[in-house]
Amino acid sequence: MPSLGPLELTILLAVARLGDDAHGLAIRRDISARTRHAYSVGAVYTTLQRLQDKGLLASFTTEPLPVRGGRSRRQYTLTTAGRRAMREAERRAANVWAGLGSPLSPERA
Amino acid sequence: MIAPPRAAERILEALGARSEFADALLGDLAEEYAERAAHEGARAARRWYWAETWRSGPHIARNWARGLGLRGWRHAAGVMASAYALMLVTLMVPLGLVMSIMYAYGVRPGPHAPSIASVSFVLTVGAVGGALSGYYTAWLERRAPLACAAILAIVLGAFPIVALTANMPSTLHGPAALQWLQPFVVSLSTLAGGLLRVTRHSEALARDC
Repeated sequence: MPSLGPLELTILLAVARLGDDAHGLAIRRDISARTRHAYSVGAVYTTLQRLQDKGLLASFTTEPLPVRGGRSRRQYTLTTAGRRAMREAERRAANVWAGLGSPLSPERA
Repeated sequence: MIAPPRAAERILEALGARSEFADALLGDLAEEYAERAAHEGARAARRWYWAETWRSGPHIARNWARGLGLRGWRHAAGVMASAYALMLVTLMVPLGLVMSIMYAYGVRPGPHAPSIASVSFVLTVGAVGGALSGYYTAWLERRAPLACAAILAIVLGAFPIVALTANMPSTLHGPAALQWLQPFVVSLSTLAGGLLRVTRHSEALARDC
């Protein structure tokens, strides 16, 4: 199971959330809005490329679009390995956070 | 549709992004550029595009360098060495001319401590040499001309640091201390040479299309 960095996991989650609309621009907007951090297009695309190299994402290109200066979009989908990696990340996070519910509640803070 | 700045597009392409990703990446930028131009005006959109280019550049170049195998590094080293050799040949003729004029007027470099004039001369030669090396690297390299020029900028900037450190503490006082500008001058001019080649090429492309 390939290890996932924080941005890699964030992008995998965005691809899962966006479904059929998971292309570069939508992914970048989604993760920037959720993390409140303006990721550069270079950071997002190099991570998408890495995830694809790891076999966690698959991609295909659409027809060229006039709004993109005649360039096509690259749509991303999760692979089986990608879904497995997400479940594994969720399980690990749950293990790490287990038992910390009450110390973090507002009345104890 | 308003076209994004061609020079910025060319810079992003010249950093070595894989072709299938480069197309999608530039398409995303073009799409957002058009949206911003419609809402915020062309000038703000252009400013955003250039800012995005500088922010994305290091990621793309680092990704290119990571993906190079031994063969890729050997190729890049060959390109940089050839560009450096070409720079030496180009620089030798005018430099020889300047030196012979200096000798004719009785200006001879000796073992004395460096003066401001001699340090300025060295810095100028470093700047010209760096710019030529960067330009030739970007000219010789096809896939990632700017990324290759950036690596050469780091390498050429490291040489003077080693030399100056080896000669400490004599390089810490007086005009000799100005020599510490050399690594920055050489690195920045190498990068500037690469950028010049890449953006000039984009103008030529735009004219041809």
